Amino acid sequence: MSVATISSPEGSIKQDDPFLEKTWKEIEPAIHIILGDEKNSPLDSRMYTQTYSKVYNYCTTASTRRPPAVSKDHDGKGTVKLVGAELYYKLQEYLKFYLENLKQKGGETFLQFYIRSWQRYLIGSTRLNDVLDYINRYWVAKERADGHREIYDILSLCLLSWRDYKFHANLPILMKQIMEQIRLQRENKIDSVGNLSFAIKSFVLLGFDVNDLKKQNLSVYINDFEKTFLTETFNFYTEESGKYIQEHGVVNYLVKAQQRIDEELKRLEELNDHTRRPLNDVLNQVLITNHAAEIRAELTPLLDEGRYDDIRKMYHLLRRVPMTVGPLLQSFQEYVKQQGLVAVNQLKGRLQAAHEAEQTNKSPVEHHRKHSRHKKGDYVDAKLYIKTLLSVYFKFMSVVDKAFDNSEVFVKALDCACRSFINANSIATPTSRSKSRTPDLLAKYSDDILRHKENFGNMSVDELMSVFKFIDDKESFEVWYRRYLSKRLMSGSMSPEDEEREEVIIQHLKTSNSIEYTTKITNMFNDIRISRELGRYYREAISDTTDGTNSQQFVTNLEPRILDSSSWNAIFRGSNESFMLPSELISTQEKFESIYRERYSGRQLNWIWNRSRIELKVNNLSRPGRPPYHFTVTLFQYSILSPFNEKDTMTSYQLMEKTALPPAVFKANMIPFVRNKLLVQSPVGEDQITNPATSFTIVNEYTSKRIKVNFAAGVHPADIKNESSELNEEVERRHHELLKACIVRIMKARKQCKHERLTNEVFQIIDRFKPTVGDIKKAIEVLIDEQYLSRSDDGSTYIYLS
Amino acid sequence: MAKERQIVIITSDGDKFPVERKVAEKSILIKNMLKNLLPPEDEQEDDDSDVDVDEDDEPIEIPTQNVRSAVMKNILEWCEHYKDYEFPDDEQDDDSKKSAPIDPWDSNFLNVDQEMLYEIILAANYLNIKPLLNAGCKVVAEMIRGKSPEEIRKTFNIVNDFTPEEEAAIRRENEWAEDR
Amino acid sequence: MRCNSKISPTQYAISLFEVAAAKEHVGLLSEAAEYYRKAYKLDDKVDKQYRTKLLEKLPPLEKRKDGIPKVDHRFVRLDLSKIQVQKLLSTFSECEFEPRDGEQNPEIPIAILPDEMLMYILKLLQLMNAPAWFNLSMTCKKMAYLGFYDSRTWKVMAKSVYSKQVYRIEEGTKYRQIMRKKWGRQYLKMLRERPFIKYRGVYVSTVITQKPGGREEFSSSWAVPFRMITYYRYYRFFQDGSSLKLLTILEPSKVIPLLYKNWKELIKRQELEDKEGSNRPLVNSTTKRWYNIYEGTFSISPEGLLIVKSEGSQRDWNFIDRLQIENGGRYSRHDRLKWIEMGYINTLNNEPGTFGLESEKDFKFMRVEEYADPARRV
Repeated sequence: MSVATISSPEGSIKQDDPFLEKTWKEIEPAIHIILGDEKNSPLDSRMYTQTYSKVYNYCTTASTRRPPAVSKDHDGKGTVKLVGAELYYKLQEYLKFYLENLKQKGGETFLQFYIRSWQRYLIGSTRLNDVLDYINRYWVAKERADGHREIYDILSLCLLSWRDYKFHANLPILMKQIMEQIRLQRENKIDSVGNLSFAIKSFVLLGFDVNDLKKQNLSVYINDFEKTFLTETFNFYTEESGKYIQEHGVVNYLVKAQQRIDEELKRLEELNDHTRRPLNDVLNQVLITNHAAEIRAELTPLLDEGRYDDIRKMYHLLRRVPMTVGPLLQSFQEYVKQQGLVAVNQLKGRLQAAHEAEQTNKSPVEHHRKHSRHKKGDYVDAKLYIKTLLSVYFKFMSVVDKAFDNSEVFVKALDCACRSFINANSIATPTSRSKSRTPDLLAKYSDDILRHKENFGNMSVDELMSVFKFIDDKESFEVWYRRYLSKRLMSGSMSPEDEEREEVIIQHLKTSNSIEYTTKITNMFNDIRISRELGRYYREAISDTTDGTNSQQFVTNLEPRILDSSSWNAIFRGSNESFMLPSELISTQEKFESIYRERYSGRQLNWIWNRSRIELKVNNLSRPGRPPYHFTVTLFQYSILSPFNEKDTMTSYQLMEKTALPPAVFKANMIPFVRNKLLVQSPVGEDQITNPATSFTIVNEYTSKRIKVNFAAGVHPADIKNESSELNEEVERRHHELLKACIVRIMKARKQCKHERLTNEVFQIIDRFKPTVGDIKKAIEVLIDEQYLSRSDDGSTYIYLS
Repeated sequence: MAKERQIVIITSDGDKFPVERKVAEKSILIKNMLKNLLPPEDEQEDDDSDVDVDEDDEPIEIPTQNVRSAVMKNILEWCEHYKDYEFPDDEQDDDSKKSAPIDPWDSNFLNVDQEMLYEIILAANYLNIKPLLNAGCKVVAEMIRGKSPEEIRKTFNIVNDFTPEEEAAIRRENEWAEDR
Repeated sequence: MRCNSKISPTQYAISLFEVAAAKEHVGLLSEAAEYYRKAYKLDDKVDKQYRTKLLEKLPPLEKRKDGIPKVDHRFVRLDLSKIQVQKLLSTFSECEFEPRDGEQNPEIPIAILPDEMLMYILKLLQLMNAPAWFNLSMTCKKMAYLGFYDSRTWKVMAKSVYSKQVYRIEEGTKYRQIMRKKWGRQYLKMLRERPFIKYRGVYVSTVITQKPGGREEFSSSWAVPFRMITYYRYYRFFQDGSSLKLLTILEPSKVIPLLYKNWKELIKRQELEDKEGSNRPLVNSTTKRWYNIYEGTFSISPEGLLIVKSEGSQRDWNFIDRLQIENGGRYSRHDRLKWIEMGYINTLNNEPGTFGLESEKDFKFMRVEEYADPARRV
């Protein structure tokens, strides 16, 4: 091969150096073979070392031809020149010549040619770099250390030559054909891109950091390949995705998009990893963000149809672009909330319909008996209500699991939705301003469970707690819960198993709230326990006859209940009614009071007559040969019956005088006797009961299918409707006290605080209910009145007064 | 490769030295050459037959045109001694390592006459065996230690070709740099 | 090629003799000896020739009565002023080794090494043993070209020198920017201008004071006898930021062998050897107080302000010396430590104080070959 065409680069080469010419002549054929000749001639070890040695000899034995020193203006900036430049420049020329003579074969596309020749050239360059190592080791290293950045190691020189003569010159056609291949693959017209990655990776190798050749520099890859690739990717999928959604719908698109993303990410193996992020960005933009609204619109229909698998696909796709998940969350949350409200609405409709049907179809008496514990006109069934709330909650909990991988944000969205519809719905808050009844109904439901009306088990406790955690007004629940608890405790029929169940629930309330939250509830249990002990003590005391008293004058089976008024406040309602204790009970009262005072001196003991019950064994009213009846009566009823021991007929006037009961109470207690035909009233009619002249005669023989007759249950105090409003008042009071305590705590720490800040802190601290700004203002006003706080002169700040 | 192929180094004067591959590969020149001429197994399928491998049993002959037998013998003895030792990568110019004192074994090994010493250094440079090259240069450094320029000239048999003015001027200019 | 001029051997011998005398005068004895030897080699009667030449230039006898004039006034120096070293070096680019013994023994074994090898050896010497690098470069033109001319030489030196300096941190980092602006890649310029501490030797401050001596009573002597008292301050610095300090009347030759990190051990060993041997004890009860070596730490600012904190004779005091690294002369660089302040801090009450510097002399650097011995490098 002739190299005569090569001309020297500017300066620096000594002309007519026979040693150089000889050396070059000797190594040139080997270089040609190493880079690859037409016959693909092999390189052997002899040729390898010979070439190396020729170069070595040229560089080392030529010191008589050592290049002149290069001097600079400054001292110490001189440069000792080594030998090698001439060979380097010869090689540079040769590479140009070699590359310009590489030609496409017939029938080969340019891309095929590029890949084939590049692969071979890369191998050749690597080898040439090793064979010509001696130039690299000293001459190139010294030149670069002396600041000649335009000198490269042999491998880089080879690659640069490729870039200049093969790459840049053909870039448009190269990129066109590469992108063509990628497009064909995307259209599934060819299976694999094959060794296309060689072509793409050549872009990577052709970038150089002039200052540090070992550093990777992606400038060529990014500018000449990546930009075009990303643009074309963007365009391709913009077109495809738009079409696909139109033709196949969103659900199919979800699958398609995911599949496309997987395919493209797999393609990254053929690209440089630098493209990972921008490619992801493009795909996310074009496949997801651009269609996010369309996709999201599909959520509601899919939820309606219960197609959770598809929703899951949707979630997984959108999840790739976090900002599209937010709106999805909102849609979901709104949907759950609506579902909750609809479910409650439907229940309300059903209950009201059933209630009206009952009202019209059944006799008032029967109705009264069956729904005696319901307030008149209250159609709400606590169990159904709570179960309805729970069914919505549980349903969507499983949706969150199935469709949203139980992801935290969706759990939170579900909780938000539930909190919203559980506290405010058409049953709990019939008007927008009414106080939520959910705490009440939940307390009621728990009461049902504890009264064995429902199966008690872990599930019911968990259910209870599930609703409890959503309740905004935990104080209200506590008050209601105590109300029901007091009734349960007072009924006196609590078995050890029952107590255990109560204990379980209290434990749960305690853990999900605070010890303080359940203090009063726990106190109530303690009161009952202590009462039992007192009862035992009392019985021991009366059976001890050593002091000469006659035990006959006492009620032997006294079951006292000593209740702390602060926990039991509901029970004291109506306890101040006038009443005259029947004389046969007075000694019992006095005895017990003396025993109590002995143990707890200094405590005030009040008797709540209206809560007292008496079990009576009635000997003389049974048909002969039948066992005696057992009557359960209120203390008031007992005091009404007591006079009939002496006389069979008494007038209303006489009875009221003996008992000193107010007419309304008298009437309420009398009604069960008349209804159940123990006493015969004359003249008849409930409105006649309080008429002083009305007479009552006891029957000679009482007829009842049952031996045990409960007259006490039929007593309905006239003012029962006030109970809930009274409880609400108590709740209000509790809220108020909590707010005051909270404000004082904050002010004690801050000493001074602006109104807005104080309000914000209160909102942050109070978690048992949601105070309104008005509530807080009111509490502040009260505290100012009570001289805990004062206003600053300008009125914007509160000051704590210690 | 199940069986390691024999490597035979042929010196400039025609002697043949059969050596283990890892001994030979102390020379980066040979190591690179083997890497280039014996493609790793998974690449052997490639129809990239520009490698002169007829049969695997044939020893690979490596002619080293620039090293004579007597020197090669020394070089290979050194390589043999260090065949199981991995020298740290010399890529980053670690000046502190370069200034470390010479290894006693090397010092003893290189206790040869000047002609041989320089030939070994030269061959180490040719074969690209950096640790040996370093050791050789350090022996030269030891030879110079504590000697005046005149004594060094005597050692190397070189003449002082400065004029007194030149010598004095250069000395005056650079003398301070001795003290560190 | 020989770059000799056309002067006669005798003339050359005389000029060598003059260089030697000059060297001797400035205390470079070993080099002076070398020049003397060379001069004698060329002409064994060179000393007489030199004297003749010298006498020719002396002023008439009568003008010399106020004492013996200083030698260097009449000494013809080599005229170095016209030589631009850098330029000179660049002209050596094609010089080759020439055999010393000419025809008889033309073999120069080292000549088989190519330039890159010789440069590599020079670089190694730079790092391992700077005087060896210097001496090798001083052997001939080719070596001087390879050893002094190339900018990389100075880069290697700069990297090795400055990486070993102990800078006060806060100033060091800030300085990096300024450094780049000021010198960039001009390493030789940097080395000349940017101060550094030298580790391979000691800094010695020689203080000579006069004390009036006693005069015999009724002595009619005009001259008042006085005693010259010479004492020395020594400083040795280590790369790890520690220092040794000694104030003594002992001469360098007695102190240098002891200024190592294990000085306590060395003094003890010395004591022991003195006891066993019959030599005059080096360390004995009377001289022992002159071996009070104090340890300390030092740091420099990039501008060369050296601060050394040491223990000292006063138990609760920290002695703080402030010295500025300066050039001893136009061609000797960074070899002088100029006193700025000699101070102390009372560690009990943190009260600082200073001593007067009236009689103090600046320190001069003195190279100690043994300190480079890797076996003794601590």
